[in-house]
Amino acid sequence: MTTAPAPVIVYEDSPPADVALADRVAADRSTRQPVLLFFHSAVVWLLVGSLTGLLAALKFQFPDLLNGTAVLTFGRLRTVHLNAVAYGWTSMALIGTVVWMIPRLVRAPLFAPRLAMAAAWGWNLFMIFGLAALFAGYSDGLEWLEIPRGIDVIVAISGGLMALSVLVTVARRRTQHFYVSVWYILASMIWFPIIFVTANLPIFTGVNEAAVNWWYAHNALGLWITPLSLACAYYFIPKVLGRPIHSYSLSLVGFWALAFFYSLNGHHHLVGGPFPQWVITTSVTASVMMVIPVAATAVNFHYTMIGRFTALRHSPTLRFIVLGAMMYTVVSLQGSVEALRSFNRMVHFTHYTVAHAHFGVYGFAAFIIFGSYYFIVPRLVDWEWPSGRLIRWHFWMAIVGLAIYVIGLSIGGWLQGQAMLDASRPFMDSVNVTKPWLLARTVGGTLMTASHFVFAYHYWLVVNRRGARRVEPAWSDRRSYISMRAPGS
Amino acid sequence: MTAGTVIVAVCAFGGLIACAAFWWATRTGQFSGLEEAKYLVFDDEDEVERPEKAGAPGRPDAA
Repeated sequence: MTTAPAPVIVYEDSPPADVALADRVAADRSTRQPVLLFFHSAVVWLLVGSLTGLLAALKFQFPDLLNGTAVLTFGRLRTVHLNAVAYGWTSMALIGTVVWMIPRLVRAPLFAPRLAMAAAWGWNLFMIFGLAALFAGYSDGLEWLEIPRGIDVIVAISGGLMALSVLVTVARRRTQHFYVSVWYILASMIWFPIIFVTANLPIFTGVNEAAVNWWYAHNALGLWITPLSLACAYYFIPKVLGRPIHSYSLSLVGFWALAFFYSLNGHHHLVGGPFPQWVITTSVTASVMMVIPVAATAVNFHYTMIGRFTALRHSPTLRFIVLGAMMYTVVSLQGSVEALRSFNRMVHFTHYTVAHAHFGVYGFAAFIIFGSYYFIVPRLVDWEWPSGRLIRWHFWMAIVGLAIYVIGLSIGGWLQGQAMLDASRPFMDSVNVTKPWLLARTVGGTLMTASHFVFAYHYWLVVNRRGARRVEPAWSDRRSYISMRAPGS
Repeated sequence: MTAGTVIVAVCAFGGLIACAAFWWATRTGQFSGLEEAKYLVFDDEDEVERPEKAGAPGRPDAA
């Protein structure tokens, strides 16, 4: 009696191991320089953004602090903070991550790495000129579009070069299927140039300008930062766990639903404004419909993680990214509720919105970026992060700072809204009631800023290959790492 | 050219791109063999167990 041979399984996209390894080596070699340049720059802009944000927050307790010069007044500092973290830190770090991931995912070296290098230098030039202009008082006066249009041309060209490099790399792919991260990355590379160029056209005036402004501002988050961050989460969570995403179909549902609904969300910022009601209603509806992609993503990540949550104790990548993904779920659902007219009436023009914005861009995107750094950088410089303790300090100061910030400002914003809506109370009540909560903002901001300096110092150590050479990651809890790997854990 | 014309043109352009991408994806089989596609992320590694056939429910340790 003979035994039937085991069936040979052939996956059309899966190459032999030696070929896959060679592809990965070629991919990593092609991306090393541009990714490092994007990462270095992003860390610098993170520090600039953090310091300006902290200084702006301190002015709520000390209104005359450093007010001797116009450059350091609240209006300029706050604007510089927003642009430094949105375009400098978040965007450059996400682009760097994408540039590193794409060649690995499509098994083709990055097309024209020099193009990507030029894009990185151009983006930095945009940041330097843009922030200098804002410090000097030159602003277009539109949220998220403050940097003068003449300077925006630089980032439009840089972004175009970067998109060209990524798109041609994908066109030269050696895989048939697109992994879901590739879908998100390609879409954002197409969406962002469209919304950025359109919003910067000098043809909009009056209420049209406000409508286009918020269409852009919300989409900069939803069609640029969000898809790139989700692309990272869909890559790194399975990668670190060694377990594929729970449902690939659901991940595609999440992508297409986001593509369909998100672009209409921005106008919920204009509830109560002089706009046709159908515009606002469409936006509110789309905002609520965002529950679909958010739920699809949340369920998928949760079921991927089930039985492996102990891994959060040992893997800094997973710890930051899974928490970032959880915060994506919470902040998105919060955003859907916030878009409803009844709720919006209470929190519009209050600090609640500021808390929500930080919860999204920091809690979701920045956490995923931090996790991505912890995974990618050792592979770029062939040197492990030297200190588990510094990683723990970074994590705990960031998460505690964020919690104090978001909870404090949300409560303060709600009380502020109540006071503003009560016609029997003087306006100053709505200011005074926020005072303790603005202190929470400063305390939380201080912790987050401190965590960024710890992170930047640690980053400097690892890229300069300082500290003892490690043969294994600087896990925060090595015993849990071993037990996590044990069967049945 | 009015602002409204520009916005409508941009939206129509974006919608066309989305439709074209969706049509291309269906034509090139991006929505078929989805159980295989989720393993693409591991192509540069060799220690990950794969299901015995396409469409199987995933790794043995999957919840």
